[in-house]
Amino acid sequence: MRYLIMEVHTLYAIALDQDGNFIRIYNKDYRVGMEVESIETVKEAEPKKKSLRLLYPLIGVFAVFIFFFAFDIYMDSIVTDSLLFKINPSVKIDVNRDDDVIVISGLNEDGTHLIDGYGYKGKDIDVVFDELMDRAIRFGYLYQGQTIAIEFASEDASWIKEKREEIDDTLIHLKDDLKVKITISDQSGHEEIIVPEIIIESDSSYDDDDYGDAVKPVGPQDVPTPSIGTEIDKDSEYEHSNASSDYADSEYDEENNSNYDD
Amino acid sequence: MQDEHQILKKVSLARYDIDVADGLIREYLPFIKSEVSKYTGTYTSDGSDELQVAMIAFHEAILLYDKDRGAFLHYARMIIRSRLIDHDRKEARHKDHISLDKENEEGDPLIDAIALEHDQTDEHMRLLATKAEILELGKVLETFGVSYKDLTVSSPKQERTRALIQKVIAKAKEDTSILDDLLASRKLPIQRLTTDKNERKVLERHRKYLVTMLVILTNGYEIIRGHLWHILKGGTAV
Repeated sequence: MRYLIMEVHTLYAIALDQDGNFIRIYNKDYRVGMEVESIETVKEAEPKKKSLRLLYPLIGVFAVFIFFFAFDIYMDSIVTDSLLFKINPSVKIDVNRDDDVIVISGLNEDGTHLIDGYGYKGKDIDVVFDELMDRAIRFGYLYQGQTIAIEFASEDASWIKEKREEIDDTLIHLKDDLKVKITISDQSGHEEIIVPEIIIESDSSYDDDDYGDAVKPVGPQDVPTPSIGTEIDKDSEYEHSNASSDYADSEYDEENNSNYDD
Repeated sequence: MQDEHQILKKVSLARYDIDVADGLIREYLPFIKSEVSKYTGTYTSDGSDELQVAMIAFHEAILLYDKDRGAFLHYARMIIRSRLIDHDRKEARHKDHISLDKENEEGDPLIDAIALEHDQTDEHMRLLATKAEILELGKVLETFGVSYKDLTVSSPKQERTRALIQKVIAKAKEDTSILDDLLASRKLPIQRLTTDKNERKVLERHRKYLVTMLVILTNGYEIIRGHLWHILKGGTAV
């Protein structure tokens, strides 16, 4: 291809090729009227890209938002506190920092049976506890004279205090229906929050016939079943205890050990 | 600081406008020459290869410069030196080739011996004639409001458009009154060139280019027509 130099500038020249195209080429000491064969076309800048710089602050805010959102989701999935109850079914309820139940686990066969098919996601711990108590009654695990041992595990002393009060409402409700013995203890090791053993006794209208033969013996590894109508031991009401000592020191041990002697 | 700000402003404009770039290079020609002289260690003449390489490198610096690369002149200096080194390497590869300035056995430069084979006078006359045609064409096109610069952007790229323009050129060659009309009225008689609405639209978009091609068909542009003979299909002057 031959090019006819039509116009010359310092940097570039305009050339006409044999196909009739007018093109800009770098001026290599060309003069108008010259016919050349080897040329170098003028380089052009890349088309302007839309600058993202204006979007940087927005992207930054969005990134921070995403970070906190992801962090929040992550924090919601972390178990911060737990409540464990033992009737015969033993169940552990794990909650996150918002007190939403994130996991419940059956700690023995009956515990697994008790929670089987139960929807707990997103529910508050007191609601789950209340509903599991109702299920325990329905399934025949909780009946007159049973002992419910409740243990709290948390790094936060105030959480234990608060939950204890909420759980009490459920226990009062239970008290209306059943004569049960309830022990509450703290596993966290906080000395200032050692929850005393309490026993709620009910004047329930339920009698033995209401539960028929549903009374189940409990295994030695489980909470011993007290006799119906166990009295509250005033002396032990504010006695410092932990989960294991509840069962060792409580007054029904002395009175009712005979139940398990054989 | 103020100077640097001014340079950056010009560089920014020159990036997308070749004429601004051309002006900037003229403005900084002393700087470019000085860089070439520093590199070669000799005086830099206007038409030297090294100066052309350096000017193209300066333009490359304009196109590629970014604030993050530091001061513009520092960046341009770096690019110029780099391209001069590339140029030297390229030249070194051809060092075994015989220079035209080298003397033959009789003591005459080789270029003179070769030039004898050509009729230098004819060449020179042809160059002058070509130049005269090109300048004349430029003047006539100016009366139509067309410049060579305009033609670099309005030259048709699509094959279909090129075919349509060739068809119109053929028609104008058959009916020379179209060319007479064009020169007399200084207006493109599009309606006489085609009756098709769509074709008219296409021709209108490439009006400047079409005017140029039709003017070339008129008397006085034999050399240019010879250069374009295969697209004009041996068109003759009217």
